[in-house]
Amino acid sequence: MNAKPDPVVERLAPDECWTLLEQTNVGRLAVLVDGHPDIFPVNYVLDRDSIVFRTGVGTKFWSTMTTPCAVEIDGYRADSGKAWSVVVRGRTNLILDHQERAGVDALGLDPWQPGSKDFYLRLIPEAVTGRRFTTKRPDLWGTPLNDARTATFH
Amino acid sequence: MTNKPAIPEPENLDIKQCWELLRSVSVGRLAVWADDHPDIFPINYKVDHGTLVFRTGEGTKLHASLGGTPVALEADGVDASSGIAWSVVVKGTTESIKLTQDVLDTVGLLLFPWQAGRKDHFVRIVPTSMTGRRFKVTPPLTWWSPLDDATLAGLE
Repeated sequence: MNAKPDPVVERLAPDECWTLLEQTNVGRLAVLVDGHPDIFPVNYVLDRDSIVFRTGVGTKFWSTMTTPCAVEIDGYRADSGKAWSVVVRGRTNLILDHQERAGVDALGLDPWQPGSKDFYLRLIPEAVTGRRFTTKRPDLWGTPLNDARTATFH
Repeated sequence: MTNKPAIPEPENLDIKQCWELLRSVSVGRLAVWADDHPDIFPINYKVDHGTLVFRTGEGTKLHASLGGTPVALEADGVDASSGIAWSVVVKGTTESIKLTQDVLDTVGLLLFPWQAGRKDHFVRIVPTSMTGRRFKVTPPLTWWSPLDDATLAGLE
């Protein structure tokens, strides 16, 4: 037994949050739609210090443009046995400039969901927070999905 | 793999399929409204008689999820071999619940065996709407959450 157990929840330093944001490309976007929180999985790229994703016209688009929103990413590292979660909060701008859009495309922004996603939105972070937690049940982490994801990334 | 495969439209799932998928994983993301902005937390949940139950300690998540505004929970997954992904979103209201034997029977096994931490509150999400979609992931397959079907520990 370790004399000094890890704290239950560790705060991540901003640098680490940004690194994780850079290494990840799928997050969940939370917005307020008609007074009700809603949540969608989104592909995104990190473009300098902002998060860019694409969307079609619809509730997600209008809500994201008019109210603050949040993007969350999370993951698990088998080597450390720890899970983490990073949340970025802020407001979004519509990217109109073609060159700017091309620049984002070049970063590999490529929606995996079918359907028209013509609008490029840039989330300007106002707050970035991250946490890391330990699990005592690592056996529950070895899922087919994890393996699939790992296989996909290599 | 062809360069430009035909991309089918997403398929809407019926309620029964949504519940089946919700039961198939144990991690979701909870979206709440906290004062003047949305926030998102990964949570472990368990389906309990047409509702979803999760456990939380004191903090933003508890207060925001019980703050009078509704919440949304999203769960998702992908079949790596077929590239078929799904996403289910449950919108609903929340209520704090007492830990009775009945609740424990349902949620106990999943929600308890974690890292020490004072997670004394149980919250029940009573769905008001549920939507689900299934779709073929557009290549390149850069997916999916490593938290799915896994148990988290130490969430606030």
